[in-house]
Amino acid sequence: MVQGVGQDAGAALLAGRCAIVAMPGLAFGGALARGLRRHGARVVEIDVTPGSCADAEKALGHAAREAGGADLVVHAGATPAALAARPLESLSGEEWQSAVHRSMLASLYLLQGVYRQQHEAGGATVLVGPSVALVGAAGLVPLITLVEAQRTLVKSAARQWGRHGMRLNWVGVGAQRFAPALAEAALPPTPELGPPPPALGRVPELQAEVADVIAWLGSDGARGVTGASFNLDGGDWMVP
Amino acid sequence: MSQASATTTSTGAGLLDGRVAFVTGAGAGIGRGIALALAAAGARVAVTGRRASTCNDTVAQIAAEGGAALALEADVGDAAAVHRAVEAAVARWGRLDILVQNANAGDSAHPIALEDVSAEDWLRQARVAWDGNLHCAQAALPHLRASGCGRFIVLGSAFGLHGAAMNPVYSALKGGDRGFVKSLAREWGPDGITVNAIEPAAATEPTQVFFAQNPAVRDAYLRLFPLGRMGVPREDIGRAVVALCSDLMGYVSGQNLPVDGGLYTAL
Repeated sequence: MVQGVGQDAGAALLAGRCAIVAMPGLAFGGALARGLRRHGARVVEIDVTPGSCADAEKALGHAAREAGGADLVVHAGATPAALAARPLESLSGEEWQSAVHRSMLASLYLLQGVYRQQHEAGGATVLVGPSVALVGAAGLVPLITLVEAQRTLVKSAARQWGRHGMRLNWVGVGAQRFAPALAEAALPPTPELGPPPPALGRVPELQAEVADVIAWLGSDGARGVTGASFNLDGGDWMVP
Repeated sequence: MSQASATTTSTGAGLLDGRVAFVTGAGAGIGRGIALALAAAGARVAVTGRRASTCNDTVAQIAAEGGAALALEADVGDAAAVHRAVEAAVARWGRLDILVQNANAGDSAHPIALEDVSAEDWLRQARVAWDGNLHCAQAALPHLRASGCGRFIVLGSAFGLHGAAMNPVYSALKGGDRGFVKSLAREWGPDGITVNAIEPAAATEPTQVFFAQNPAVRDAYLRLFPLGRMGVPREDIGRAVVALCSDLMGYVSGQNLPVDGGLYTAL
């Protein structure tokens, strides 16, 4: 029997908590939202790519009022330009701007909006990216640049905002879980020469296994965890 | 701990004979140290900066030591300017083997609260770091392909490895550099080009001035380094770049190499 898929993760980790899932333009936010609801959270999804800090503040404020708070914010951000695989040498300046700067600024604004929501009472934030960012991929230089910057921003924000009771962590998921379009990319094979990767024989499913870890990161059980990276790809990439 | 131990080691003379290097932000600091070290190892060096005049001292020192160098204007945020400078270097020496993207916006040590970062704060630094990477890579690629021993090196930062409360913009950009390097190494590997990043810790001129004025801060900071000192731009960082550019490390690609006296050991 394959362990984990569809199983009950146990006690509701987020009973009474409010969560916001902000993954503009990425289809997997719905699955994560359903998984967090399974853990007892009141969840509101927002599909806004903020063009300013004020945009993010407004969107998150509206969502927090609807959910009753913003105890946990889950975010992933990458514009369609960032998800398109192509060699760097053929990338136009406009494509580069859209892929890295617009995506990054939207994530920056989103985090600033989270700060407005959480800096008084604390809270948890989880950024989600494709785990392949840990190892790089040909044809995806803009996306991997972006995601590694987001992952580093999580660390810096965790350092700056920890004194406010804010915890921020990063979760890596299988590339095709992150965006089906990445199936077309030349994703690197893992160096494992034994049984086919990933080690678990499957890429963890979003609504159950990935959401379970995110729910834990949003729970009191993870109150000592911040600035960390969690690779939830079933044991595909095992980084140092 | 004296710095003599760093200055009496090999210069790597001859390791890069016949090669041509292009170094951005090479008028001062770590970039200047890298340019001097590459020249001492035998490379002919295009010493570039936003204004060519800022590179004259570096070029003069290389010439005084018997090397070959050329000062070129290259604002790395300007694709056309980078292309012109790369082509000028190739026109002068007939080839390009090494590109070192060292330029940065100079904001790395400026504290900034993440909640207050503006688009301007981001774009001012990103234009140099990330757009500079793109422009340098695109301009250099045909020549690095033709080289047969192409090297593309980005100067990262420990901030990009562990994050930094002091300057989250700079650290995010440097973290992004890691992704850039890892991916480009996979993309350019079939062309025989290695792509790596170095995460240096070096006492540049402004750092030395700051430390002279704040000896208590200096002493506390130096205790972070197992080797007991910060690096010297030419001898410590420059020579590491020389090694990466030489045949000695021609099988190293896609790596982020801390050159920091043992500061960061979490990998």
